Amino acid sequence: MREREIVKDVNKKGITMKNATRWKSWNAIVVGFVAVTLGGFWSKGWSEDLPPPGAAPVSTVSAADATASTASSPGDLEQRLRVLERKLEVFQEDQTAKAKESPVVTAGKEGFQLQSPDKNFVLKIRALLQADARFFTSDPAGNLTNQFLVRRARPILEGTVYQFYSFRVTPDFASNGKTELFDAYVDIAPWTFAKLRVGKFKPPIGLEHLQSDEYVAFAERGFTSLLVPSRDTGVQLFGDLGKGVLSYAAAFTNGVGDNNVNAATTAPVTSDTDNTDSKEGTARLVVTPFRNTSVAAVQNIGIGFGASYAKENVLNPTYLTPGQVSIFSLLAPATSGPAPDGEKIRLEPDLSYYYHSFGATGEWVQSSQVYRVGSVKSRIVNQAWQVVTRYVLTGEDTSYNGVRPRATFDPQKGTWGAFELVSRYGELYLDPDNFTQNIADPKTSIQRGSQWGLGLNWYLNSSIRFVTDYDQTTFDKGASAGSTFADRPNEKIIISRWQLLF
Amino acid sequence: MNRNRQTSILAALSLALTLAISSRGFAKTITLLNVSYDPTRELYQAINKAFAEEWKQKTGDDLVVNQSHGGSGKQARAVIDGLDADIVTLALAYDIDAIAEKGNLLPKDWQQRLPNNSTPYTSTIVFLVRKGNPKSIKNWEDLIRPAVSVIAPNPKTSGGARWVYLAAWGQALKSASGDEAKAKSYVAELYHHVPVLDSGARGATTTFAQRGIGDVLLTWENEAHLAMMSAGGGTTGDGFEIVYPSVSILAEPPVASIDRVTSRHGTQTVAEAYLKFLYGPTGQEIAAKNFYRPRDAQVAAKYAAQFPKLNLFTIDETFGGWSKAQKTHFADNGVFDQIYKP
Repeated sequence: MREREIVKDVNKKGITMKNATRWKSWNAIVVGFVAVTLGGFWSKGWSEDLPPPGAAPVSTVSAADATASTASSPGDLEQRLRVLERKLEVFQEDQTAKAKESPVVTAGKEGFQLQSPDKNFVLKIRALLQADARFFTSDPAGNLTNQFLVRRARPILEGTVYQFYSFRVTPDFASNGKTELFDAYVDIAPWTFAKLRVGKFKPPIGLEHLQSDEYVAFAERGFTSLLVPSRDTGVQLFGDLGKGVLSYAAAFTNGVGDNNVNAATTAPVTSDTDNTDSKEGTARLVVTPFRNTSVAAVQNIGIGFGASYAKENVLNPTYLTPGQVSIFSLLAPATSGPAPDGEKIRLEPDLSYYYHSFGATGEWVQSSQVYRVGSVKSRIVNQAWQVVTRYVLTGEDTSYNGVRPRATFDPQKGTWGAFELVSRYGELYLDPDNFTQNIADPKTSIQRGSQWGLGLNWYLNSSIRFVTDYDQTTFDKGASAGSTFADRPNEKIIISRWQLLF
Repeated sequence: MNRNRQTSILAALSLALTLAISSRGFAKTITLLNVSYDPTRELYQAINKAFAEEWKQKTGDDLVVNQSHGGSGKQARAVIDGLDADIVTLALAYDIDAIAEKGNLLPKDWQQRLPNNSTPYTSTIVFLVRKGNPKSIKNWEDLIRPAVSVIAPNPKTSGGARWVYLAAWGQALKSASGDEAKAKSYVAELYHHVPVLDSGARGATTTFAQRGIGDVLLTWENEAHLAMMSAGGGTTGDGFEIVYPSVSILAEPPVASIDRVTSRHGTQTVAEAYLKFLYGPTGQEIAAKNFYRPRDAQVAAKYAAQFPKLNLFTIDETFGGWSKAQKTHFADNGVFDQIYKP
C-alpha cells in the first residue's frame, strides 16, 4: 500500500532527527491510521464504482501521488503526508456532511426510531404485549374458567411529520380474538397551549382510564373505568397553560356507551361507523396548583374534573369484573326496548397525589342515561368510586407515568429492579330503576359491587413488568336461585401478568 | 387658562401624538434572504450594507438582508425543498433553472428579466501558484507536467469546480482544434494530477493555502485574490501569485428573485431593487472591489489594471449551454465519472 511505502521510505532513507522532530507526533498517528485503514476503505468511501468480488482492485494512486512515492526528499515526503492528512480531513468532513443529511436510526428502551437530521420527521415503532394467567380461587357455580391468555398485543406506530404534526396508530390483535383499532389519531401541535387531535382516541374523562395501559397500578382497571368511554372517534382540542399548572381537553366525538371502544349501535359493533347524527361532547380540566413551587411534597397534587354530554341512542354499556366477567345485561328486547334513548351525562371529579415513592388517586364517576321501555322513559344513574394507593418498596419515585427502576434486574450483579405495592378499594352502584323499570336483567345484572385488591408490581427494567394481583369482589344481586333473585357469588381472582413495553 | 386655550393645547398634543404614532407606523423593517454560493460572503456583506443604506434613504424602511452560503447545487436544492429565499445569487444558471423547473418558484425565462442574462458581474478561472512560481506554471499545458500537483474541487459537488473543469476542457478543445478526444485526454490527465478533491471551492483554497498542498490552485479569480490578500498567513508562511492562462472561461454567476417567495413575503419591490442595485454604479463598484469583473463599462475601465484581458470563451458557444454541459459532463456516468477514478 502507498501509505505503508511512505512509512518504509521514512525508515529506509534515514530521515534525520532534525527533520523527524519537525513532524508532530499526531502526524505519525495519522499516518499509521491512514496506512492501516484508508488503504482498505478509501476507495469504498470515494468511489461508487466498486469492483465486483474477485476483480482486480482499482488503484487509488493518482499520478501526483505516484510521482511522490518515488521521491526521496524530506520535502516530498512531507508534502505526501500533508496530502494524506488533508484526505483524511476531507473524508471526515464528507462523512460529517453525510451524517447531517442521513436519517438517525436508534434502537433502545424507547423502541426503534428513525429520525431525520432536522428532527422534523420521526418514526417510532413500539409494542405492548401483556400475557396473563387468570385463576379464580373460588368458583362455587363452576362456570368460571381459569386460563392463560394474551390480554393485549398492540404494535404501536408513532411518528412526527413536519415538526408539528404527529400521529399514533395502535391496533390490538388480542381483543377477544379479533383485531380492533384502538388508537388512530393525528395531533397538530404548533403550541403547547393549543393542540388539535383528530381521529380515534380516549375521550378526556376518567383519571384511571386515561392512564396508559402500561402504567395502571393493577392488571385490570377498577369500577370507575367502567362508566367512561374506552375510545371514540372525533376531534379534540387540548393543551397546557401556566407552565402546566392547568391542563384542559375538550372533545367532540361520535359518542359511545360506557366502557366501549366503538360507536356503532348495530352489528357489527366492532365498526367505528356511527349510526346516529347526534354527537357527544367531553371535557376535562386538571389543575396542579403547586406544580411549579419548590415544595416537593405538594408539587404533584392534581385536581381534575371531567364531564360529558350527549343526547342520542348510544351503545349499551359493558360492565365487567376484574376477571372480565359480565355483570350487567339488558333485558332481551320485547316489542320495544329497553334501549338508550335520550340524554347521556357523565360527571367525574378526581384527585391524585404523588410524592417520591408514594402515590394515591381517588375518583368518583356518575354516568346517567335515559332509557326507553315501550313508551316509558327513565333516567338511569349509575355510580362508581375508588381509591388506589401505590408505594415503591425499592425507593424509586412513582408517578402517573409509572416507575422507572434505578437498576435493572441482573442477579449476577445483585440488582433486582423495582418493586411496588399497590392496593385499591372501590364500589359500583347500579341504579335500582334498572330493575324496577325492566331495563336490566336481574338474573345477570348486579345492583352493587364492592371490590378490594392488593398487588405487587415488579419492574425488571423500564420495558418489562411482572404484575401479581389478588382481587376480591362482592355483589348484591346478579344471580337467580330458582324463581327468586340471589346475590352473585364473590369473585376471588389472582391475575399474573408479564408485560413487555418498548 | 380659558376653555379655548385648553382645547388648543389638547388638539396640539393629539396631533403630535398622532403624527408620532403615524411616523412609527409607516416606517417598517423588511427582511430579505439572499441564498448564495460559497465564495460570495464578502461581496454580499458589502452589497447588503450599501443597499440597506440606499433603501433607507429612499423609503425610510429598515432593511435586513440575511445571507446563506453553501455549495451552489446544495443551495438550489434547499430552495426547492422550502428554504425561503427572496433572492438567489448562485454560481450557475443551471442551478436557478432547477429552481424554476423542479420547484416552479419562478418563471423558466427568469434569465431574460435582467440585463446580461441576469449576470451583473462575471469572473473567470485562474491559477494561484506559490510565491516565485517555483514550478514555472504559465499555462494549461504546464498543469500536466510530471511532478506538478494541482488542487481543484470536485465538479460533482461544487459549482465553482464545474467552471474549472469546463475551462480546462474548453481551452483543450480550442488548442486541439475541436478534437473532443484530445480534450478528454487532457482533462483526464489534469485530474490525475489532483491529489485531493475537495467538495467546494473554499475547501480547495484551504487545501492549497492553509494546508500547503499542491503547486497550483485552479479557482475563481475573486477567490484567488482573496487568498492573495490573506497571504503571508497559513501554515506555510508562503505568499501566492496569480497566473492568468492565455485562455479561460467566462464565468457568469446569475441572480434572480424567487417570485413565489417574494409575493408571499410582500418583498417583490425591494427584491427587484436589490438585484437592479447590483447593476448600478455602487453595486458594480463593490463587485469590482471584491474582484468580480463588472459589467458596467465605466467601472470596468476604472478597475482595468486589476482584471487583465483574457481570451474568454462562454458556456453557450463551447458547450451549448448549461443543461447540455451538465448532462454530458457531470451527470452520473457522464464524462467526469468516466475519466476520474479516485
